[in-house]
Amino acid sequence: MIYAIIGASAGVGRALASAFASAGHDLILVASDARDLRALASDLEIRHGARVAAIAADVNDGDAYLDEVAAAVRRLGALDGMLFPLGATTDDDDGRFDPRLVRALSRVNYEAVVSAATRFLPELRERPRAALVAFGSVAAVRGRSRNVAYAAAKRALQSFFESLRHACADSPVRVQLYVLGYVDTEQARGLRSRIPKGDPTALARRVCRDVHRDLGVAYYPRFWRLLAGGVRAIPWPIYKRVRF
Amino acid sequence: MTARPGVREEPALLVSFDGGFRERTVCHRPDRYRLLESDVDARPRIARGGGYSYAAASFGGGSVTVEMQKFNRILGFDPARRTIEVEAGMTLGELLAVTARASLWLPVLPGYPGITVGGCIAANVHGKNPFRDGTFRSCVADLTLFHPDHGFRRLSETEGATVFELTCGGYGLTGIVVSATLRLEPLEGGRVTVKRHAVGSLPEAVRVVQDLAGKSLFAYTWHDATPRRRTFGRGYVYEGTLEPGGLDARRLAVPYRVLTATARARLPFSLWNTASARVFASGYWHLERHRPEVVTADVFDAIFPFARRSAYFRLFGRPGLVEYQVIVTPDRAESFLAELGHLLRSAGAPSVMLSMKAFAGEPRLLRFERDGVCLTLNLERNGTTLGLLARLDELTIETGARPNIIKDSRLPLRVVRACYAEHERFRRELAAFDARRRFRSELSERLGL
Repeated sequence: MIYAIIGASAGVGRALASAFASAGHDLILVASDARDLRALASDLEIRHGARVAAIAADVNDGDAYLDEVAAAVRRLGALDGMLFPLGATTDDDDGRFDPRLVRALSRVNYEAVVSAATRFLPELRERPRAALVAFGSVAAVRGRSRNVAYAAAKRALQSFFESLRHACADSPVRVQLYVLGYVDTEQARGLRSRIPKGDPTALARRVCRDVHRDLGVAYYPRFWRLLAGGVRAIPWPIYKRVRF
Repeated sequence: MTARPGVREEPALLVSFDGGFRERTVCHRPDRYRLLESDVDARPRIARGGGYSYAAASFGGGSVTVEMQKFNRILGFDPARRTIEVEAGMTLGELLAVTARASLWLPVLPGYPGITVGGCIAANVHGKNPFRDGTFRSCVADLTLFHPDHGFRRLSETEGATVFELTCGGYGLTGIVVSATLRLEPLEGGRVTVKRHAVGSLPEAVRVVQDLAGKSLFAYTWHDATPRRRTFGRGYVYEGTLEPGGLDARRLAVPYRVLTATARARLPFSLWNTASARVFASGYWHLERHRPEVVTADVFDAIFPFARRSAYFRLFGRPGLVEYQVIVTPDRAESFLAELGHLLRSAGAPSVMLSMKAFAGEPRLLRFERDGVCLTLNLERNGTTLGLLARLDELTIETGARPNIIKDSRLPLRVVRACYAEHERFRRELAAFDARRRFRSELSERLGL
């Protein structure tokens, strides 16, 4: 089967690429870091014998790269699924509401996923089995004064994928969204928290195993479903005093 | 505007594998080239691979530790030309699992699969048979080095040869080894036949091991090193030969419980002491006598003997171990071994294991190489041992032996200067390449580099 991974060169994306290649799938990888993408593509080809099309593109530069994805799909066969482990946060996203920052975070965390998913949805609907998998964040569970634009974009993404799942309910396309807690990637590096970080490799194996299940929204690590419920339940007079 | 954060910091308490040096430090773990090359500020850096150096070569000295585990991708593999290009964070276990599919392997493999290619280059490690196969440098066709002042540089014996020579066995002080092209050799079988030869003394073992080294896959010895006149030095020479055929690459991708320096030191005390070492040495000697003289083992277990027997290191616990490793020239070997035995017995040293193998190489720069016999002695780390090591240092200098810098976290500058004739040349050439000395570690500070 052929899967496209948008945001593939590091962190969860790289782990997904390894998991899907080791499961025997061919891949179309998109990432902004061309050197890492080349290195990953050659690694997956040599290590797992996968066919890999590598497309160096920055989703911040618009959707033109999707034409290259479409061309790669034509070369390799037919697309069976898309995964969107892309996202970005910055330390400046602390409620100062710089419009450029808000636009940049909205683009990478939400708009780019929506553009790619909707572009390829018609052809995915034609496949006997297909999947669209996005990755949200526990930061979107409840708004706070940190990761403001990031959380808003991730919550929009979750809403969009819920709608998409509803729209695809009578089709072979499985629409999944994993709400990620702390995962041991560069993004969570140096985080001071007693809450254990999840392993990106274990997450990738789980996604690969369950890619055609009708999961809807899943949490990783799983205990975050409980924690998220707890955060939502905190009364506002207390929540407004909490700093995390 | 794009949201692209830089490399993030994480504090960590790092410990040398022998437990002799620990320091709180700041770690960076870049996972892409952009982060690696932007990770430059006024603070010195030092790269870290698997963290298996007995000396603190990958941290300390006020440096930021740059962890290279994420740089572990295969960049190219050409079975016909017998070369593979890999990033420096690739482990030897991963490497063997891939190359074995094409019936190829790296002839120089140190004893643990978690060691990285970058670490092997930085320490210029040796494998099971350095007499026949040389050291790791002989496997390196070229390498890519990153230095903030020089950028990415491709180095080999013909391109940037001076820096290449400094980098192979340069303890990471020339910069960050990012990738390397390695020369492979045919792997013609999947099993190793190990023949045991009993020996009554260390000098006898030297003769046997030197005779076998040139004609076998490996030849190394094990000896009872406990300080008793009656049993000291008795032991076995193990001669390994590859059995042709029957190579199953899947048997070389073996799961094992990864031993880190921190995990090794989890036991709060050492279970190795003079008494337990005696019981172990006697028991092992007797058990071996009653086993068949010839046994076979999977290549993985023969090459990485401690991968699935890590208890040996764990039992040294938090106090740690001392590994004294030297190469003695053949003409001085007998007198060296006699004096070593005398020193161990007179000190009542808590020595656990002694092993020897034949070595061949040119004693250049700070590389652990020369013609002779390589002797490895493991001891419990305590006050007696550290006092004994000072006397062993004198013996090393007197006999012109070459101590292994990467295996001894306390090796003093005075000893290195006396035993490494090119210490000053290394320091001078390193300063010429990197005037600001941007890569430092506890090892480099201790050795005046």
